[in-house]
Amino acid sequence: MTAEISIRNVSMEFPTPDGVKHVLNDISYDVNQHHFVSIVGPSGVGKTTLLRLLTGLMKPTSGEIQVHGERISGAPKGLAVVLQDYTRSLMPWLTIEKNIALPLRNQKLGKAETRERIESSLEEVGLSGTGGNYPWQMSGGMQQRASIARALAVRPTILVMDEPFASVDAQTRFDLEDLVLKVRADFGITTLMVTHDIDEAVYLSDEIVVLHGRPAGVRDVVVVDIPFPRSQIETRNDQRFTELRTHVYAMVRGLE
Amino acid sequence: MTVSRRLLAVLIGAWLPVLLVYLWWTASAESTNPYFPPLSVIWTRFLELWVFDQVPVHVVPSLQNLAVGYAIAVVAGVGVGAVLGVSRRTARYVEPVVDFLRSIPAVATVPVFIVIFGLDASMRIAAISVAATWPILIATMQGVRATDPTLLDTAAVFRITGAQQLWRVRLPAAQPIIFSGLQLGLQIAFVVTIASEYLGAGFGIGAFTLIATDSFLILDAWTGVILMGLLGYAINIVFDIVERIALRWYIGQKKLA
Amino acid sequence: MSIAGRIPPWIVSMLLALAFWQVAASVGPISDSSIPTAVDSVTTLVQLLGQSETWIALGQTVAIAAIGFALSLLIALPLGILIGLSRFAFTSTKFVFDFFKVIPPIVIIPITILALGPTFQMGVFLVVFGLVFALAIQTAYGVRDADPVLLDTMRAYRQGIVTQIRYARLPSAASFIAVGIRISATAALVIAVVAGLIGGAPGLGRQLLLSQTGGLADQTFAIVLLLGVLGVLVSHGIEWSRRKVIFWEDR
Repeated sequence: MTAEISIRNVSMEFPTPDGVKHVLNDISYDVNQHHFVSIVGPSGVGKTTLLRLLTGLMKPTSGEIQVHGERISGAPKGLAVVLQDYTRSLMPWLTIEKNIALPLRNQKLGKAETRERIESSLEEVGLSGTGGNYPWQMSGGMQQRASIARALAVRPTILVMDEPFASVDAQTRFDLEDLVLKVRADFGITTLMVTHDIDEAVYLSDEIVVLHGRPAGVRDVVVVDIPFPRSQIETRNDQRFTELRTHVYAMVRGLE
Repeated sequence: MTVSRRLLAVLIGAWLPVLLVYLWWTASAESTNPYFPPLSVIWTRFLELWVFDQVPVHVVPSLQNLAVGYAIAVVAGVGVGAVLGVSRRTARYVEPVVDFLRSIPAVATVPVFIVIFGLDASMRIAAISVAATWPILIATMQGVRATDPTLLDTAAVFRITGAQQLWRVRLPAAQPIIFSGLQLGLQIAFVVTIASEYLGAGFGIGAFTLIATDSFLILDAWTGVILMGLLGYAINIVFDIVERIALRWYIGQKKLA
Repeated sequence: MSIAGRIPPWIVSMLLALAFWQVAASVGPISDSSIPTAVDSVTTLVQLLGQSETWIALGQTVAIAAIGFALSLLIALPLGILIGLSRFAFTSTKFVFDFFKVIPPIVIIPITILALGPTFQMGVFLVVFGLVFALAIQTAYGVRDADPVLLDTMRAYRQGIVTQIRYARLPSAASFIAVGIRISATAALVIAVVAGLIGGAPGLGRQLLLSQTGGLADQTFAIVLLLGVLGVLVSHGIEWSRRKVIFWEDR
């Protein structure tokens, strides 16, 4: 297996009025191709900082991040994101279709190809026929589906998600989790997800990276050895699921 | 709302204007004061002049100058404002000058343009466009600066950067703020159109009215004032309609919130 | 850090703008017109500031603006409160007020010249006409915006209309009125200048008109510069006082 993303000795410091704040300390981790990896840790530990570094929105103070063996500067090619705050990440002045089409402009696709990508990604997330709506005309869950469709339409090799289901209700959350599993089974996109929900991390991931400490380091990498396909009822009642969840929870709380 | 309730709302909104016009009409009917002629007489004269005998001579050139001047202001204001909104370093040096220039009452700049351009149409267009540029420029600058960082992050990760980000994300997101600047700019453009005609023109609705005043053609002056008032109101209505269409997404979003 | 680095950017940019003006007026494509140079204009401005006529004119303009502003408040606030208290009054007057609100005072100048002549009173009248409708609407909106729950509670406890106005309507209207006052103060000055420039009312506007029609280009530019300085002072003064009362406005 090859590493799609390599995080190499990454540290991050922010200057603040009260002096330098050291957030991440010497983090190294390889994300394997086609893997689903969750990053968990207590709130304020620096999960989102790490994610901003991975998407090229910030540069690390030291160390580097490589995608396909090349050091990134700026957003890497073939990367797509889904953010928590869907109301602020979909452009409210564009319909869903046009939101999906926006990142495709740089790919210089033909009209027919663009159309096809929009249709197929809407279909994949179960939103066929709603592309003419504005985001704010749809429910939160549907908006987050649209965000996922926008990400899929660029045919990414890497998908990065920041607390993607934190702002939707519980039922919608389960539906969206299963949607993500389906997307992964269909396309095999390497996926990195930041979450504070440990159940969700265990349910979706191949590996879970636990961040801990101030500044945060990698406390442990947990391999989730539950076979796919998974299902909300059976997997969550699986004994292994319970063990892993308890283990990760203990680490996040610093009990182990 | 049912039809009858809507009708009631229209009636409640309309009785006072109707009453006021009626009072003016009857109270002025016997008027012998030369400055306040009977409304019926003013109305007759209004129809003679402005439906539509003198429209090509006086109204069309005024509206032409307004349109050209305003169009220049929109392009310049949005263009320069967008650049200043993105580049804070440039803005730090340009803003004080802009702040000073926009603090000059718009009408007071007309004499300056008369000194530079003389009394022809280029003076009027220059005065209109410069005066209307400031509010548009400032609104655009502030709007572009205030773009939601989450939108910018999303765009950046999808590799929408630089000029594309400005055009596709920052400017559309700033539309509601830009439109408030556009509205103020249009009102100023209208005022300067009239002022530039008052201060030096042989034709145009402002010139017509002031010349009538100076020649004690009081009826004509009254019709000019009424026409300008109606034009000013109509321009605002047109703007409101355009804004409502352009900002449909914003208004819809607000209503749900 | 060098001395140049310590000069505030606004001074640097003002000096650059003046230098640009100086060059444009001396060699540029518009140098053929009678545009005066920056140096000439600023020199004339300094001379003007040494003359009592200038200060009298300035005083007249400010007086017209201030009296018109005060009268507008005296008329608009009670009117706005009364209109805002009744839904019927509010919807009835809405069209009339909206109509006059968007009509700039410059439009009615010809009639005011006929009726009042180029006088101080005419200037004051124009200022009132320009401010009063917007201020009244703004006040009425504020009064209508009062918290309905608070009003219901007051009614339930049989509080009289006076108490309702004092403790629910006025506090709600206050922030709306503050916004109206801020906008009106600048507008008052602008209208006072326009009244002089177009209508011949006394003040800086009239001085400007006389300079321009008299072919005194230096003086024309100097007075416009003075008006710019005045405008900046007023808007910064308003901004300063807004910060002083922001705790009150943000309630």
